Amino acid sequence: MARRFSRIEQGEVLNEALIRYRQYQTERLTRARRVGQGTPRGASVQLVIDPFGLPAASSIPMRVRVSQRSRTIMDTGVGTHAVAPTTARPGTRQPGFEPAKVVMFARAGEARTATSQITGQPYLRRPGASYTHAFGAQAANEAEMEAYSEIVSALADPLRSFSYKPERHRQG
Amino acid sequence: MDELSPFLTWFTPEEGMNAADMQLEIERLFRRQQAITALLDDRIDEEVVYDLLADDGINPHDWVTNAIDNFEAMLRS
Repeated sequence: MARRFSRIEQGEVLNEALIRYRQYQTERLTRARRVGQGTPRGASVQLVIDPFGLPAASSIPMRVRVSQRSRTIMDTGVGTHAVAPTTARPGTRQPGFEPAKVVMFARAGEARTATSQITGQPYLRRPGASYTHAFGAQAANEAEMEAYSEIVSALADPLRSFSYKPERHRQG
Repeated sequence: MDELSPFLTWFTPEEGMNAADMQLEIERLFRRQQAITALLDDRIDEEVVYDLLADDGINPHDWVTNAIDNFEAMLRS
């Protein structure tokens, strides 16, 4: 049985994290565009996925964007969970829809410890490169977990760490 | 980079890990990240996430302080 971590013990510090979270969300929306001054966005490709959150009968293929660098390294693992758009299946964009994503961190020459394997402690400061790739259902009614597991298993390597961002359908 | 990134937890395949062990760790990661996203969307209570993290061998305090560190790095960049 896991030890219970009480609200009193953790609440204050979680609040601090959530304040940062809201700050960052606000800043993303209000930050002035530095046209021509920032780091150029890398090339990206448009792909089509079948969302998990809609029944197969009413499913609408969604168009998503994936960076070219992520596509290059993760393409074979993702397989037909994300495919190029075609005239017959161009995909649509829908506000509030966020596809499920597999996140892969490829370390560069760092010794691993048991703790960092599990928690991925401050990965934003660890040497290496991070890649993110959207994915959808490969077959009608495929579960998100099933698809995710298949992709990670295909890309698995001791020098790579994996995380996951769930598919979200947000309103407003 | 989006706002979920600082809250990510990870799975790293180990040398010699068999398929069943790997599947278990992938499922744990999947479940953790579903719960963390639900917390950020105000759909579940934080204690559910803390217990889940602890069950998976992650200290909730370390997870939260790590998220703060990551936000600091993102806000400065």
